[in-house]
Amino acid sequence: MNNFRNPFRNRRYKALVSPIGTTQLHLRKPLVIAAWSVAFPGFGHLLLNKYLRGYALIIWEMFINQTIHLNLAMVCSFNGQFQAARNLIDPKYMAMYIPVYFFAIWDSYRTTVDLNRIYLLAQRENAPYSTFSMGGLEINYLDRRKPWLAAIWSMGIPSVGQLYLHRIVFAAFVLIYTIIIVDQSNLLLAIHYLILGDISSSSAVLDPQWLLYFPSLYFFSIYDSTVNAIENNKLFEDDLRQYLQQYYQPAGKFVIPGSKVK
Amino acid sequence: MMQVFATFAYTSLLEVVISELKIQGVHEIYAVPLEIQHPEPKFIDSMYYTDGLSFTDTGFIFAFLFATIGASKGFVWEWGPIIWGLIGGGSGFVLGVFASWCLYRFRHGKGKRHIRRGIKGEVILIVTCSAEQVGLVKKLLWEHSAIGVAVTR
Repeated sequence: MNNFRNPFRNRRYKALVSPIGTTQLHLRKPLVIAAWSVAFPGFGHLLLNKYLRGYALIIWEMFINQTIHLNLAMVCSFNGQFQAARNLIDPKYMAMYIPVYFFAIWDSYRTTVDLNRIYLLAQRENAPYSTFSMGGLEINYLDRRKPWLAAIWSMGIPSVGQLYLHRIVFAAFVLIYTIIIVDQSNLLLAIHYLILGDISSSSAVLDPQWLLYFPSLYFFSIYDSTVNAIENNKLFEDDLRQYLQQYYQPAGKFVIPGSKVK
Repeated sequence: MMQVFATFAYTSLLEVVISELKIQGVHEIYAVPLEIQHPEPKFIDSMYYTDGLSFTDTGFIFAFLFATIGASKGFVWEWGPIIWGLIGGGSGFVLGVFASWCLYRFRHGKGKRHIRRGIKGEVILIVTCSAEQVGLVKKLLWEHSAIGVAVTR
């Protein structure tokens, strides 16, 4: 349901509040987005709200990483076991990894530069966009969200911060992804041993190949929910400001200079 | 005629109180939404000082970087991958924030202080009403989280 009507079609909109999530253009630093693509191909695209591209790259990266044991080889390399790393990597698929990895970085950088330009044009055009949306399955609306609260929720488990911001499809994907990683890496079991003080058992149960997916996902989820909460608030404020200016600044009204009544 | 001045934050309660005032027969409402002190976003460098966001950008990137390396080293080092991963993540974040803070101070010099976000008036609401309505208007404004209210005659 689009509650905006315009006799002329607008060229660009800066946001869309749809039942499954709030999609929004805002200025981003291309290098920051590219850095998230370095962390994990697809993360940069998720930050740009280009979800399908992001999902495709993430699924692809996981598949190829599992096939060539890249994470395991990274653990060996960081620890100076270079021969072990050499033996682990499967040369059959290794060359497939490299081009797509760099494509993800380059493409997210390029898209950020483009979208920043489009954002500027959309902001100047100032076209009305949907700010409230109700469908058979969901309700979405603009409101103020607390960035620190989004961050705290994401620290608890990646994806609930996104759910707080009503980015449902993204949250569902990240949640499934988190569950798979936590399950396969035995992370929670290791934390359990750690709390009991048994460090050697804790290290022994961890699967390095799966564990290494976790740090980038964890910090990405916190970062994403914080940034989007802030940008969501800016969108909300902007919408309210325009509404007030349109309806509550009638011409010919003025302030009566008077003295304050106690 | 009396005029009631009130300041509000940008919240949905503001729209609620406006509609409430109209129901109560107060129709002369004037709103002045203020621009809040963020500098105009620049094209390439999109620092939003009031968010403090640009500091955490680098912080989180360093956090994932150091956490990954820490977790890897942890498979060999004594304390194990989780503790080293956490140490890596925490120290990476602090390092990243500190680095961008240094860069910020270097670029912008000392002494320039930006207003921090907190509870402050973001919208000025001016309600014109009769003397009998003032009490009701004030009550409604306070009930809907007005930050400050004053009445003038």
